[in-house]
Amino acid sequence: MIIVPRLIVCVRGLDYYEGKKNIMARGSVRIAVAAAAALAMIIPLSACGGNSQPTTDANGKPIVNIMVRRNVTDHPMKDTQYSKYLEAQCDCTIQWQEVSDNAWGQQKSAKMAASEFPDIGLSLFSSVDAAKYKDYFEDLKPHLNEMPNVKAFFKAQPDALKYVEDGKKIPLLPSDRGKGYEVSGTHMFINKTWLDKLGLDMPTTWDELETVLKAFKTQDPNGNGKADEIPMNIRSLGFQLWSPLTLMNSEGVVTSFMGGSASEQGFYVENGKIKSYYTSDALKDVISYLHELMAGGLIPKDVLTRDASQYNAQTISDGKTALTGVTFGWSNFSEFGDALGEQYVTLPPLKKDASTPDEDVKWDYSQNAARWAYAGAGLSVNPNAANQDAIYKVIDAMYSEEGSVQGYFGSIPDIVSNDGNHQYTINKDKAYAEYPDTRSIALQDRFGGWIRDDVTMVNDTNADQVTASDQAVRPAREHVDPINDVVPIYVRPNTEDTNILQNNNTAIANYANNQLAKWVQSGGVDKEWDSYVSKVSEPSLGLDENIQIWQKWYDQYTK
Amino acid sequence: MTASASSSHTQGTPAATRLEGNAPRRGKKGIANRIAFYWSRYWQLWLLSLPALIFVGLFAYVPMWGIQLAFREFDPSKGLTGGKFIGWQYFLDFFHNPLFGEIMTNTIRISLWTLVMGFIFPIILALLINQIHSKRIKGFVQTITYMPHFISVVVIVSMLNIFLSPGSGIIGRFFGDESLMGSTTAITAVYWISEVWQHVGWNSIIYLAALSSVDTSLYEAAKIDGAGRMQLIRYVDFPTILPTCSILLIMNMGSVLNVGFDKIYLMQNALNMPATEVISTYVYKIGILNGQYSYSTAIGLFNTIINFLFLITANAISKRVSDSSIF
Amino acid sequence: MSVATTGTDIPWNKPVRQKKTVGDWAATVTINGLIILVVIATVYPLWFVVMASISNPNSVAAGSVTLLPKDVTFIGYQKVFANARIWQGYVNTIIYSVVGTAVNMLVTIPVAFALSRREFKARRLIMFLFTVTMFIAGGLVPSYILYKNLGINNTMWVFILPGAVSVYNVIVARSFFDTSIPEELHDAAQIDGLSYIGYFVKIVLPLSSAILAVIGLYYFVGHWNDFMTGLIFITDDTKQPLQVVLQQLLLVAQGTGTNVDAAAQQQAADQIKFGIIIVSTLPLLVAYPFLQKYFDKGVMLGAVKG
Repeated sequence: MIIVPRLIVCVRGLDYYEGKKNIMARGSVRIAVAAAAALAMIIPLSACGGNSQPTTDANGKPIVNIMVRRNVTDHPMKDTQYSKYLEAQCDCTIQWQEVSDNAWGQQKSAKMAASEFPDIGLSLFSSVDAAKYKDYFEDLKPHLNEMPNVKAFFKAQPDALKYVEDGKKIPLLPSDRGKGYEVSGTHMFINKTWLDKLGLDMPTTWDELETVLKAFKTQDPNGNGKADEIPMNIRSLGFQLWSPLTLMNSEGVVTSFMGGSASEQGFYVENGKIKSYYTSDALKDVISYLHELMAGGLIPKDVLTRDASQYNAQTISDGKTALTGVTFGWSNFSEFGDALGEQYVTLPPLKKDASTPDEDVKWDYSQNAARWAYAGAGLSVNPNAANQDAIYKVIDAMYSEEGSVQGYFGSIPDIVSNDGNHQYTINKDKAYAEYPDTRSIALQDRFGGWIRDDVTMVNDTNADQVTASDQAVRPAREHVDPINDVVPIYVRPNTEDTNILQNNNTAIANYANNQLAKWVQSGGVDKEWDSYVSKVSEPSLGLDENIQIWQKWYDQYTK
Repeated sequence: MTASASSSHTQGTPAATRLEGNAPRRGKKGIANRIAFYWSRYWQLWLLSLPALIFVGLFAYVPMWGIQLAFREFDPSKGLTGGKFIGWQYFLDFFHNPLFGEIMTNTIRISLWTLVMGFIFPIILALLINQIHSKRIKGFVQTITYMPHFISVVVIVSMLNIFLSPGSGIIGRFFGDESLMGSTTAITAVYWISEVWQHVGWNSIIYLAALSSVDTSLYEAAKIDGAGRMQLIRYVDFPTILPTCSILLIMNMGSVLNVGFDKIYLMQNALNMPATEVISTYVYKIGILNGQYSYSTAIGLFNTIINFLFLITANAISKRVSDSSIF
Repeated sequence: MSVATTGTDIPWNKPVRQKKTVGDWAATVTINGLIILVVIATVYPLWFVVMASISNPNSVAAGSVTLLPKDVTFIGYQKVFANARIWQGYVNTIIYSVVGTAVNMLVTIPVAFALSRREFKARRLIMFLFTVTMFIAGGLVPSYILYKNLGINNTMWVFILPGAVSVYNVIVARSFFDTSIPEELHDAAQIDGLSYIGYFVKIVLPLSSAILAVIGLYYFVGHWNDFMTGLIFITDDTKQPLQVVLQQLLLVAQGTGTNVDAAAQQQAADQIKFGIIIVSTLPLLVAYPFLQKYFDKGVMLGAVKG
C-alpha cells in the first residue's frame, strides 16, 4: 500500500543534487509516515455494534443499572459494601455507571435526545427535564406501595413531595440529608477574637458594624504590626449563596439564596404580592451601604473582579494570622479553615438601624433547599427498564434508614457503625482520610435516600459545624412567614414560562447587575436610582412579565 | 510553464488548456469517451481525495440534518426534528432581544482586535526568529514562545487575575486601586494581548515552515545587489510567506464573530459585563444553562452564516487582488 | 542534516557581504532587542506557572509569589501521581494521538495534494464543500446519534474517525503544495513518465517535510489536548485520555460547593491547577525541539535551477 521511495528519479534539466541531500536527511519523516500508515492498517476497524445489554446476570438474577453524577475517580461505587447491601435487598445485580459533573453537563442533552436513560438515575435530571421528556420518566406515584420507605418519607415531609410532584405524577424522588442540614445556606461571620481584643461589643445595626469595621482597620486587631486587616470581605454581588445582599433581610425583605428558588432570580413576596429585589428600596439601601464601606476602605476595592482563589487567600490566610474581619459563608470552619475557624462566630442578623422593630429583622430562608432540594435534581426511573420490580426494591432499600445512612455517609460497617437505637458513628479516620467530607467514599449529596429526624449521626463534622453556625440566625428566621414573605421553593413554573423567565432574566441581569456593581464600586446610587428603576422596568426587559408569571404560579401553588 | 509541455504521451498532463483544446476533437466520439478520457487522466487525483471525501461526507454532512432544529420548536417527545416548524421565529427573537446590539458590538470589537493582532504578530515573530543566526538560540526562542499555547484557559485567567490585582500584581500595581479586569474599556485589550501572548509562538510555526522553502539563492542575488538586512526581509522573506498569510487571513475572516467561549466567560464579572457579553457566552446562558436548544441553535446558525459570508467575501477579494484563494 | 544546511541557511554570514551599513546595525539592534523582549514576556509567565505549581496556593493567589516559590510544597504533584488512573490516561492519550495522527496524515496530505493541482477541475467544488463544514455543523446531538449508530461511541475510534480530516489543515497543506513546490518539477516528472501518485510520493512528499511536520504537529497536539471527546462520548473510565482524568482530579478536589469545606476545596483545587499543566504538556514540550529541524531553510535549495 505504501511505497517508500528510496531513490529520487533523476530528471532532465533539474539539478537534484542539493535537494537529494536534504531528502535523504528527511528520510525519518517518510519512515514515520509509513510506519504510522502500517499501524493504521493493522488495527482493525472494529465497529462493535449491538447496543442491547443483557437484562439478567449469569445466575439469572435481574440486572439494574444505576447512573450517578459523581466526580470521584478512585473509589468506584461498585466496590462498596453499600452496593452489596442494595444487591442483597433486591436480590439483583447492580451495575454502576459514574459520570462527572463536567461530563454530564456535556452529555446530557445528547443522551436524552438519543433516548439513553439509565434504569435509575441519581442526581441526573431536574423537574424541567422530566417535564420535557415525559415519556422517559416513570410516574412513581402508583409504585409508592412497592416502596414503603418512600411512602413514609412523603408522609413525614409533605413539602418534599410538593417539590417533585408534577400535577398528579411523581416523576422524580427528592432526597433528604436530615435535620443536621436544616440551616440557612448563608451566614455572616465576624472575628470574635478581634472584637474581644479591641474590647468591642457585637454590632447589632449597620452603623455599629461600620464602627467596628473602622476599628478593625485601624487598631491592628491581628497584632502583627501591619495594617493588613481586611475589615469586611465579600465574594460577589448576586442573588446567590454567600452574597452580601442577604443584608436586605435587615429591613424585612427576605432572601432564599439556594436551590434554584425564585429568590435567586430576584423575586420575593410582600403581602401576597410578588416583587422584584431589583426595584426595592432594600436593595438600594444595601448597595448604598456597601459603597459607603468600600469608599471608606473597609471592603477591598477589587472584590468584584477577583476570583475565588484570591478571596480564599484572604479568609484562610496562612492559617496563623487572620486577615478578614467580617464575611459571608456556610460555616465558620468551612470559610476560614480549621486553624482560624475558631476565631469566628456567626453575627446575629443586623437591624438596619436602631429603630427597626425586632420582628422586621429576618434571615435567609433557605433551610429547605439546604436540607432536601439542594441539588435541584432527583432520582428518576426509566419506564422502559427491563426489571421494574427489582428497581423498586433497590429504591426502597436506598430510602430505608440504613440504606440512606450508607448512601450519604459511607458503608456499614466499613466506614459507619450502627450503634443501635438510630445512632450511627462515622469513623473519622476512614471517612475523612482524603477529603474533609465523605464525597470520596459515599454518594454524599448525590444519594437517593432519607435521613430520618430520629437518626443521630456522630462525627458528621460538616453538619455539626454548620448547625452551630446556624444557631445565631434562627431567632430571626423565625420571623419569616414561610408563604407570605418568600416564594416557597416548591413553586415551579412550567417549561414554557421557565423559558420566558430565563430569557428575560438574562437581559435584566446583564443590565442591572452591572449597575449594582458600578454603584458599589463608584457610588452614585442615590442620584441614578430613579432612572435605573425606570430603565429596568422597561417592557423590553420583561421585568413586569416575570413578576406576573411568578405571581400566577405562586397563587396556584399556595392558594 | 505548461505551454511548453510537449508530452501528450505521458500520464497526468497538467495543462488544463490542452484538455479543453482536445475536447472538440474527441467530442465526436461522444460523452462517454470524454468521461473515459477525463477519468483516465484524473482518476488518481480522485483516488487521493476519496478518503477525505468519505470522512467529510459522513461526519460533517450527515449530522447536518440537525440544523433544522433552528427552525423548529424543540419537542423531545417527538424526536429531535419532530417539533413544530416555526420558521425564522427564533432568529427574530434574537434580533429583537434587548441585548442584541450590545452582544454584536462586543463580539465584533473583541474578535476584530484579536483577529488583526493575532494575525500580524505571528508573522512578525516568524520573521524575527528567522533572523536569528545561532541554531541554538533560534531553537530556544522557538520553544519558549511555543510553550504558552499549552497553558489551559483556566490558568491563564487566574494568572491574569493575579498579575492585574491592584496593589500586589506585577502589572496591576501600576494601574491604581481598581483592577483592569473590571474596566469596560481595558478588558478588550486584556483579552487580545493575553490571547496574542499565548498563541503567537504557536501560530508562527506555519510561517517558519513556509520560510523554510525560501530560495536561498535569492539572498545571494539580493546581497550582491547591495540589499541591507531589512531589505532582505522585505523583498525575500516576506514574499515567501505572503501566500500563506493570505490563506490564513481568509480563514481568519471566517471567524469574525467567534470569540472563544471559555476565556471570555471566565473573565466576565459584574463590572465588565457590558463589554464582555458576546454571542458565545449568551448562547451558553440560553442554550446550556437554560436548556433552550432550538433558540441557541438558531443563534449559532446566525453566527456561522455571518462568518461564512465574511469568508466568501475575503476569498473573492483575495482572488482578485492576489492569486491566493481557498476555492 | 547539518551538512546540508550549514552552508546555506545563514546567508548573512556569507562572505558576499562587504560592509555593514548604519541601517544594518540599526536593524540588528532592533531585531535582537525585539527578540529579547519577546523572550522575557514569554518566559516570565511560564516561570510563574512552574513556581506556582510548587508554592502554597494562598501565597500564589495573594500575589506574594513573583520570582521564587513560597512555602514550597509538592502536594499538588503528589495528588496527581497518587492517582492510579493517571498512567492509564497517559497510555490512552499516546495511543489516540499516535494512531489518530497517522490516520489524519494519511487522509489529509493526499487530498491536499490532489486539491493543489490546478488542472483538477473538481477542486473548487470540493474545496467549497469542505469549507462549508468549517462553519456549519449539525451539532452535538445529531453527531452523538450518528456515532451511536456507527457503534463508535465509547471506543477509541471516536477520537480518531470523526476528526480524521481537519479542513483547516487541508487548506494549509494545499496552499503549501500550491506555492512552494515549483511547477517545473511536475513538468519534469511527466516527462519521466511519473503518474500523479508517483509524483506525489517520490517528489512532492520528500520536498514537503516542513509542512508535514507542521500538519503532523497540529494534529498531534489536537489529539493530545482533546478533552471534549472523552468527556462526551466515553463512558468507560479506563478509556479516558489524560486530559479528562486530570480534569476529574480537579473536579473532585473542588467538591460540590454548597457542601462542606468551601475554602479548603478551593485550596486543594488550586494546588492541582498549576501542576497538571506541567504534567500534561511536558511530553509535548520535550518533543518540540526535535521537530524544529524540519523548519530549517534550504529545503528547496537547488531543487529549481532551471
